[in-house]
Amino acid sequence: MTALAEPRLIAASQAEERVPEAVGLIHLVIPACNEQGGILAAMRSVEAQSVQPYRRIVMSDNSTDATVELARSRPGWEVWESVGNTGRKGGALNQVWERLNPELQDSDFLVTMDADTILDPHFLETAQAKFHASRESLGGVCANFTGLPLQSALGVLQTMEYARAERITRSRRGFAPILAGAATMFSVAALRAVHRSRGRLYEPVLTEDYELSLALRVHGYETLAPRACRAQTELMPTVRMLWAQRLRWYRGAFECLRTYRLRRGVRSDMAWLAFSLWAAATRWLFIAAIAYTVLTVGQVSFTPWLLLLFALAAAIRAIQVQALGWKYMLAAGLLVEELYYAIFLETVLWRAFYLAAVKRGDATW
Amino acid sequence: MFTTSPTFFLATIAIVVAIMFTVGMNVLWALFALTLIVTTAVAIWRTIPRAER
Repeated sequence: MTALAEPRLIAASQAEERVPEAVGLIHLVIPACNEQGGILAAMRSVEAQSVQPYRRIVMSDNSTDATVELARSRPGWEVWESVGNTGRKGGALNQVWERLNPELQDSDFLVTMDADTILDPHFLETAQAKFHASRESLGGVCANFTGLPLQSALGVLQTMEYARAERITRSRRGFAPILAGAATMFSVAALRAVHRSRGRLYEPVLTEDYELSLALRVHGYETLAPRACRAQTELMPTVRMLWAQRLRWYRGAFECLRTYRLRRGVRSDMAWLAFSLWAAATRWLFIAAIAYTVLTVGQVSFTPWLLLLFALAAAIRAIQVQALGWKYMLAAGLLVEELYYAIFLETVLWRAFYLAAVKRGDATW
Repeated sequence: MFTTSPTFFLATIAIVVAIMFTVGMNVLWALFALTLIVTTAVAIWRTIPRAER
């Protein structure tokens, strides 16, 4: 592993000798690459936590903007810089891990968060409490996310998507298939189990957080997103940016699952993605069939049963965004805007599947 | 759509048209209805909150 630069700033409290405690210490890391726009807000959200981390670290990875200078302007933070990293965010986090690991105890916690994430003031407290209330098999606790304000149709659609994701998590009794790198508290013992098995913590993949989640699950650890753990994250302001983000997520997921194949704890993810591909293809066939019928016959009619199914689907979609208020419920119930959005996401999904299957090894961040 | 993969895009269109002509409209409706039933059932199941573990 490449040597790291010396920390530029060490808080006075962190320079003191570690005092053994019954409660594990929290070590928080923000990996950041050219994040001058959001880094300070993310750091302030950490400083406002009801339980303060033992160490607060910003790991700048090949930043060429003012990220490092801004991070150094806040007292109580260590600012590190990656050295020779070509492994994206996972590579930078591996360098952090190599440096921190000798100082950590199994009872400690490692928190990773993105530089465009705003933690709820009680995130660390509630996540740590979840660990103390759970069995040793708990590997990580991540946040339920809401979007930072974005006044556009795209913002509304993404907001509804995040609300649905939270609702789904609640239906799974808090189980989170992915510990989102945007805000997760890990058990150091669990991370060490993964590290021991393969010699590094993060793999050099597009979605290093999903891959690590899979690794933890394969090792028998639980991954949760308790309702009380909350954070806000940036929404994509343009279609192009949303396309790029989702393409990375979906392609990363396909590539990770290709590596893990049908191992226990992973099969449900694979089944769900396969079904999503099938559902997307069916929807497109349906739309193509309607277009073909209209063009050849001149009209199209649906059976009452199909219309009933549409009505039921509309009602469910509205209920899923109940927490956002009636305006969102109305938008969801009308289905039209969300149909565009669904078709967009499904197109990205198929594109990602194609890239993962055909264009192996040329993925870009 | 598929701007960097015209072959993939054209192949997709060809497959869609071929499926439509091969299986016929009734089968397509049935396939779509079946998928909609399954997705709706999954959506209902995933809308019900359950006690956190």
